[in-house]
Amino acid sequence: MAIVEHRVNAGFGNERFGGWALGLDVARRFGRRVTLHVAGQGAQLRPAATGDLDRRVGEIEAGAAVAGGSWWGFYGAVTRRAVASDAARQRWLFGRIDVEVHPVFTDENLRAIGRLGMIPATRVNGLPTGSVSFDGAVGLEYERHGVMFAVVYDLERFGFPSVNGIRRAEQVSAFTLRGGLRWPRRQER
Amino acid sequence: MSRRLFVLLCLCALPQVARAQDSTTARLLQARDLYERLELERALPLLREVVSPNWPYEVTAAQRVEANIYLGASHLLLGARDSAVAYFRAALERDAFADLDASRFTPSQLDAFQAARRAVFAVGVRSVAPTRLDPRTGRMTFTIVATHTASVRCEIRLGPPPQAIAFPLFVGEIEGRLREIDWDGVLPNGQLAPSGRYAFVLLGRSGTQRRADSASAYFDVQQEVEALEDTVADLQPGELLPERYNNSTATSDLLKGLGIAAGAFVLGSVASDKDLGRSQTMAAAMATVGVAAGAIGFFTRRGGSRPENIAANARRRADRAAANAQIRQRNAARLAQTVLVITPAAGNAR
Repeated sequence: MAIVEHRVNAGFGNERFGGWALGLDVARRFGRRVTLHVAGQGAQLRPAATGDLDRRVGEIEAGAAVAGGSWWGFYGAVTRRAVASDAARQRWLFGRIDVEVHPVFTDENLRAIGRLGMIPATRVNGLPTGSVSFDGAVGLEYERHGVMFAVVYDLERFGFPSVNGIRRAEQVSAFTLRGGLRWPRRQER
Repeated sequence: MSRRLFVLLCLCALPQVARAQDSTTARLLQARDLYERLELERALPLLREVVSPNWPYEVTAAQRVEANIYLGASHLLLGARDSAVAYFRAALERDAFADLDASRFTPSQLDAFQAARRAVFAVGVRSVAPTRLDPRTGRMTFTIVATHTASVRCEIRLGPPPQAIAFPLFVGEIEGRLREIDWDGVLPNGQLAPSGRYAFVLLGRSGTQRRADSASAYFDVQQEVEALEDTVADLQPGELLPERYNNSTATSDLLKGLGIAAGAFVLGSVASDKDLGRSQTMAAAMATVGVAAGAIGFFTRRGGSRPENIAANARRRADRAAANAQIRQRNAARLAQTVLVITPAAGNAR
């Protein structure tokens, strides 16, 4: 469950949308290093300014994490996102490549999460291919007896080439509360 | 060259020793044949030669005893009883176990031998026979004798005086004949006899004369036991988990929390698009969570105990104690199967 904020500047000034999102994430570990996951979420975003239309956002993401060590690794994902309002509909497709760190706190059950990376290209129907964009997240994850809770703040910043002197920019930030179950349980010391 | 000469001399000397033994044995055999044929006048010179200091060949103690017995027996048959008793005494003084076979000697000879027994006082211990002694079921036997009634004290001794073990095995009277004394290989304190060189010492005091004598037999005891297992070594500090948090651990947690907060502010300010306006609310919320986690970690961990490590260390100690208990049990079972290997020994008991 997340609080999502979507900011857009398409040449008509800043537009801001916010609302709640609900999603589901399933991950499976392969060996000691590789974890694959599929996630989907949907959100209903309301405009901050009156007169704008509500937006509905739905996305599905498939990604992989490869552990480089006990506390760091690489993360890559491909995301298909749909943003729709009563007037229009956009389809987004982009991939991301990140470096992840997750240092453990002393009690072993609490981990910090840090992620920093880039979105090399973004394809949106009706728009030119987006330039290299930025992606990052920080958070905390707690796991005990196979039950996991996490708080993550993440930010996606998209940029597009100027068209007719207008440069489009979009930014999606989310504050996510995540709960989950791990099976089989992680070996606890 | 000198080594070769030495070896050659040794090789030459060996037949001489054997021949000397053969000469004494042959002379005794010859004398005994003459005695059996009652050619006593011819037997006596041969026997006297053997016991004479001028006899050039080696004479064993047993041969000397035998020569004295036949000298005594011959003199008695010739009517010289006092001389006979004197020779019998000489035999008994050398070997308290010396005796006459009643089927081969006359009653008068036996009577003279008994007179010699009463006249001389000597005690003897027979050499220990090699044996494997299982202390749970077996016994080793010491055979002692005195020429006539005597008060005796039999002791087993081990080791030099500071750590000496000495305990009596038998104290009492014996009636001038053989007596067997058993020992199960266990010390008076109930412990198994340790490996080492032992002496069986017989101290005797005549019941009829004011004379005393002693004799001893030496033997080695070797405990034969299956190899024992070593117990598990004590847990070293490096094998135990720290049972208290140290300050650097708490500081590390604080830094991680502050790192989250810093990361959140970087995302919310530096990394976000300025043209789209700052988005600080989520960053502030995340930073608050991070700082709280770090601060809680810092204040709860600093110097605090680590129950999970304490429990883990207790488990390790318990596992080690259980393993050692099993090892001790197995070792005790092996020790209970210990067998004593007894071998006769020469020389002084240490």
